[in-house]
Amino acid sequence: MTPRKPAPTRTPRTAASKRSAATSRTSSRSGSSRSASSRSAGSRSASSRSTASRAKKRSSVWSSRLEPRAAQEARVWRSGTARGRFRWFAGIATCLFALLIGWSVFVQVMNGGKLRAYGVAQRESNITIPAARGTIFDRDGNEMAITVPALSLYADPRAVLDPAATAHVLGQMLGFDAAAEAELATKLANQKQSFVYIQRFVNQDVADAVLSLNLSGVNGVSEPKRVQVAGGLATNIIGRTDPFGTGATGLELQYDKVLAGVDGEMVKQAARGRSLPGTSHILSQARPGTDLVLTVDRSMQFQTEQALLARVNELSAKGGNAIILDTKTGEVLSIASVRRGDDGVAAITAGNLAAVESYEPGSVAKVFSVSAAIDSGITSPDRVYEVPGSHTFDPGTEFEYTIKDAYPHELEPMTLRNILIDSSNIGTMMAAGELGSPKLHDYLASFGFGKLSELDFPGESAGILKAAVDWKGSQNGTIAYGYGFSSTSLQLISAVNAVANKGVYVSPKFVRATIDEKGSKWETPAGSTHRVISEESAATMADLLTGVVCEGTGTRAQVNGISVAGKTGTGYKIQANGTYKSDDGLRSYFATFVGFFPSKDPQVTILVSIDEPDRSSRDRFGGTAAAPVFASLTQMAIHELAIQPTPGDTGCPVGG
Amino acid sequence: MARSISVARTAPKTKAAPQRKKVTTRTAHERRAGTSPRAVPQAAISRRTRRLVFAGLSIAFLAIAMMMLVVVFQTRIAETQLKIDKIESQIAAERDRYDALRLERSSLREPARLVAEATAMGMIPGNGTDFVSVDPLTVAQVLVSTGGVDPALLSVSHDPLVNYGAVKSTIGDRP
Repeated sequence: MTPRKPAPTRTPRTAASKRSAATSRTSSRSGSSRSASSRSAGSRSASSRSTASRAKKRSSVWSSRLEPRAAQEARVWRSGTARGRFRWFAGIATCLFALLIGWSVFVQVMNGGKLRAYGVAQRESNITIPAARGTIFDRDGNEMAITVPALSLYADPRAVLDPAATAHVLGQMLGFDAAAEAELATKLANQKQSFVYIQRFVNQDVADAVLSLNLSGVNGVSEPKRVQVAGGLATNIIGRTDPFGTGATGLELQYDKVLAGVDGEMVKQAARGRSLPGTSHILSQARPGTDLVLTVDRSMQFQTEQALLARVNELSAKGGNAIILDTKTGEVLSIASVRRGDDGVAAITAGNLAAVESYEPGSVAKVFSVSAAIDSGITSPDRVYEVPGSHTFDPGTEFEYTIKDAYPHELEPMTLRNILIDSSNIGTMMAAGELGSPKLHDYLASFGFGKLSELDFPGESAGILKAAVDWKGSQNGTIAYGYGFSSTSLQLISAVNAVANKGVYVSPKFVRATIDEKGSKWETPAGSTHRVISEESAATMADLLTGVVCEGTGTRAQVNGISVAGKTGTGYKIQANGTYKSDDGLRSYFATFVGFFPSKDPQVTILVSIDEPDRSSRDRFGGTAAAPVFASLTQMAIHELAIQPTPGDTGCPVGG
Repeated sequence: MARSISVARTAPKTKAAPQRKKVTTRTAHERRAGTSPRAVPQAAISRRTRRLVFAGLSIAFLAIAMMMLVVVFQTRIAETQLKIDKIESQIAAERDRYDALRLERSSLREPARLVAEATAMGMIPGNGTDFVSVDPLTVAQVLVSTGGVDPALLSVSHDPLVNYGAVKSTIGDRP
């Protein structure tokens, strides 16, 4: 049997021990362990302890009555008991809590705004939502300039392990030369930068090949790229954007604000570089740019450019301009300029030289002086003038200046019709002379010379038309046949178009309509119009100009089956020495032909000018250099626009 | 000799039912006043405790349920937002594809390309222009043989910009 553990002996409690225990409980704040030991102590020390405890109790009662409150509280805070420890804990916790509250107040209230902004800045980022740039269409809805996403390659130099080797690989794949490769290596070695472009707008296949190599620090980013469709057709009026998509020239510049739209803004939250789904919100929605619908017909533009380029090459000319207008609306159906570069190669220009460069129009100006004379009623097509072969201004003075007709002749009776058909300078001067310089000036100004058109095209020239009082000496006569004032090709065709449009000038225009952000198409307002000459005068002029093509200097502008009206012009270009002849005694020509068809009911007006055709060639005049191009463009326009001759119109009579 | 032995049989002890402990409670006021504690039946305390426990558990359950619902809803919102983000990415990608296709279509219709293709097929530019008048009798015979032309077909005009405008108004310029 397992010996049982002896039961603890219970000491009978005497009155003294009970008092002692009571005293011990009363003074138990001194420690429970001590109290427990006293309770378990034997009766040996009971009597002595009870005496001590009685004294202590008395002392405690008295001390509790007599000791100050602070001492009492200090005693209360003694940590001997559970309550004391709790109070200590509560006190510390309260202090900590108060500290926490105070800190919270400091953080939330006193420093709250700044810290909040700092926190927001750490996790949020404002991202610009780029507005899609508007598309530029031709009049039939074919895209001419469009923005598409394109891949650009960039590098983080800090992540590139071997700049030289990376640059070499990239240079090989992107077709860099040694200099470009060395420059890239230098950029990649610059550890201070975190972003450098390797190449922007890389071909997708090449970019894919580069990215597939997983070169350290090399990456790709999609960026909007402005693309001119159709090999850059009509770049001269569309213009260009800079690498950041802002309009730099042409209509891209003129309508930049309209095309660009309005960028939006988005706030995005991110954690460690990764965006958090559902945390982004849009502050302002991007508004896409407005699309432009041009008046230009892409097919006609292409054919115009090609025909002009071919003729310039054929004549070894310096350049040329060609414009096709819708007679009634002034809409420019095509406009092209060619210029031979320093390398000797003629090319379609990116600049709109037809609206920017001005020159003396030459004999085409006879259309305006004769129109003015007829419209003012001082002459008629059948009036006969005695026209000499030459005329001298200010004879016997230092300003003496002799002019001659293009072909030598003696004093010859010529009707106004013949004067225009044969393009007689002196005859025209005689007819317009009766009108007077001020009136001729007013007519020329009304035809649109000497001021900007309503196109407001960047860089457009107003030409030069001085006030009549400033016309000096021979200018009073030469302006009638196109010397003494200058105009752009666009001004010149617009002026002739006023004759074609039954005497009403209509301002040319490049933009036919716009398409807003909601996809609605809005026609642009028609160009402003004003009457220049009467309808009867215009009809008379159309008849006279038809004669120019059928019997005069512009026979090479004829088109089978349809009547064409027009006027040739061969201007002498001012040379570097300020005269019309260079130091070696040679002239430079500016050959022009402007006309319209069908002459009874004109629908299309065309200008062709050839700048400095080969001076030794017989095809250096308006009727020989420019008129053939006019004829080919007329046939093209007939096909493209399905133009039919007016009833009874069979074109020039056979042999006419 | 037989002795009768009387055995006093003690009555079986009945097991007394355990008495419930009487718990004394005093309010703080009573404690300060030194009044004697009052007895509160244990049953009453248990009932109240049970009610308190039940109420506490109910509130805790409701709180936890609400928190779970909030978590579920937040998750659903996040999922939906992910879907929205994905769809918006798809829209952006499709818009890019739309623009790329427009560019491709326009390039395919490029005049220079058409000329090159036509030349490769042996075609040459037209050689001048002429207008021929057609005998009205011939026109009448053709019309009779073909049954004429539906006027509705003649009035059909296809403006590609109308279609473009509809697409633009639909996709807008969302990010």
